Amino acid sequence: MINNVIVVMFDSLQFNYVGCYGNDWIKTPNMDRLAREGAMFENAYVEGLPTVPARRAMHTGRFTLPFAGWVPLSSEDTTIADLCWGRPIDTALVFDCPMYRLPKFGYTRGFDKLWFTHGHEADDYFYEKDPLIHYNVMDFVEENSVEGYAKRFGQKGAEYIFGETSNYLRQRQYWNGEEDRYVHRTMTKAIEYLETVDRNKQFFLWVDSFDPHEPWDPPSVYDPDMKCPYDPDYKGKDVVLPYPEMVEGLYTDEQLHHIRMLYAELVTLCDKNLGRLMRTVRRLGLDENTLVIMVSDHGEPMGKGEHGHGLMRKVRPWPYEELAHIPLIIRGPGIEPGQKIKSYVQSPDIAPTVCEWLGIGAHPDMQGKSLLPVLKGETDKVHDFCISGYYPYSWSIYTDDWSYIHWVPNTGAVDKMSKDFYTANIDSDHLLATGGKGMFHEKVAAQKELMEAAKLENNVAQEHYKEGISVDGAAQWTCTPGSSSAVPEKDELYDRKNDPFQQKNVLDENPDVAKKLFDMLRERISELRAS
Amino acid sequence: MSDTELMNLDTAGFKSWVASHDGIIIFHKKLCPHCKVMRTVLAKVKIQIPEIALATVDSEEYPEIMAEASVEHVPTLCAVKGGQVQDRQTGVFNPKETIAFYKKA
Repeated sequence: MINNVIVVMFDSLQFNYVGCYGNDWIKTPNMDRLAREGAMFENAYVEGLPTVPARRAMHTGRFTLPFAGWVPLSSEDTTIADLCWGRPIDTALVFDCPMYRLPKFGYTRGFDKLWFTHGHEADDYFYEKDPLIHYNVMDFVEENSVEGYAKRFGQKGAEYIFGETSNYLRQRQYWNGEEDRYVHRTMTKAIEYLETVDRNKQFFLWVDSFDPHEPWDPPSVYDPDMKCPYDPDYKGKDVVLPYPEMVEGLYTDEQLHHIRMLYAELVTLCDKNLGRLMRTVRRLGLDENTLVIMVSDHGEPMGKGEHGHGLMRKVRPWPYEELAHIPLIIRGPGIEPGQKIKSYVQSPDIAPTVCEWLGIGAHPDMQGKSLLPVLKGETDKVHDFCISGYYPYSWSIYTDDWSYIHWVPNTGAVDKMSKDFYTANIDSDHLLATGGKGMFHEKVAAQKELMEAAKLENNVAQEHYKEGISVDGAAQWTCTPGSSSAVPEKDELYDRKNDPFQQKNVLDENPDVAKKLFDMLRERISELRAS
Repeated sequence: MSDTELMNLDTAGFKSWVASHDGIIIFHKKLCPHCKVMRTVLAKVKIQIPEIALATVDSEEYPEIMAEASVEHVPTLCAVKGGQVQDRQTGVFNPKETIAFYKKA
């Protein structure tokens, strides 16, 4: 029996920016079609956040909570690709997510075929020696945000965004159109793989598109004839890389709305590319024996209130709805089309589902559960509830009626998160031995100088300055620069039915409910620790 | 083995149990979720080592046994061998770690 699997991962795809998940203004016709042909999970949550732990759980079928956060794949981990070895299954990873390429992290381990598209986020240094000729950074940065940031963290600190935006524009100046955007190039390679794969064997293809992760630079930004379809009358600049920080005082509400609409337009571009892939699947007849899973690793905080609890980009360990709730759509032969499955499902369920479909069977170490029984109507429940969190800063639990967040106290320091979340488990001696990454050491020197200047300029900067780069090479492994581990002081309880995006904390009014949920959460975490 | 099969020890029972068994005593609280999980772990340990003896002490009912055994927090496992508590381990552990703790004690 030749059963294949394609997993399409869209990084940072927020569930409520997908049409079939209830968004009535965004255009995602191909995701909606996939849901009509297959099944969509309405209550899918990632357990360990963000990028790296989410993928670790999906590839290994094991929860990362309560053990680890942003860490390499361990030699004790068993991944889907590991399990395909020694069987008639070809494995391929086609990706532009730089986190798979993090040195020594090992997430590309075990795949027979690899294709990496350069340039996204942490890999932007690939273009750092290219002169920036065709663009002016200030066309993509709003003056009021620079002023607002400088008031808070000092002028030198505010200039950080120029570097990040410049490095992106250095590569973008060579692009001719949307076919040059990462998602298009990555999907093109995935299509090439499908067209050439040996059809007498099984295959497991993981396509990992970092889009719609920022920079939010969809076609309307670089095509002079286009207007953003979701915000056509906007007159300001297109801020493709906003400051990763609390947004109050940095951006106006109109600017924040436009940033979200650029994100939405990029989601639509991702959708279009999913359509390209699915047309290929259909044309090649693969839809008759191939399980297609579309999933994301997390959402994205993008502003005030329900949009992000005041935050822009993932620089706090806050497992709120907009980050933890993910879209998950699965289509395959034998799966009743058009299902909307309410059962709670989690990121570790991906690996056992893939393995069962491939005929390998779930590995005994896997803690996740195969979703095939619920997809085939043999059961209606996978998990009683979901958990989510950032190791070691936060745990949350989602039930039908409530969501509850437990904050693990810490100092909230900027360098704490960099050191103990992102880099704690990495030996980076090789960087010093080999002279670092590109112009890395020059940048370290420049960054240190900026930091000292910021300290002199503004005392607040001493606490908050974005010391994203350090001589031990830490910046190579971080996600968004300047992540802070700051968490609220008190736990939070929300009415999930009436307040799904967690705006009104009702813990004081419902102490008994809070205690019960906290005990359920502790017991679940404890079970994971003990298994 | 169900959880109810674990022998609950009182003050006198604790002394005689230690004197006459090789195994693990878990100090627990009735409503503690971590303790509940660790009792499940001990059941799994028993499957792998059938000869191991297991018992429990309710920390709220018998604080004096806690003091005698030098246990401050729950859940705590005490490894008992040769008529004495040889080692203690507090927290949540998986069956493999628990067996390693017992064998090393």
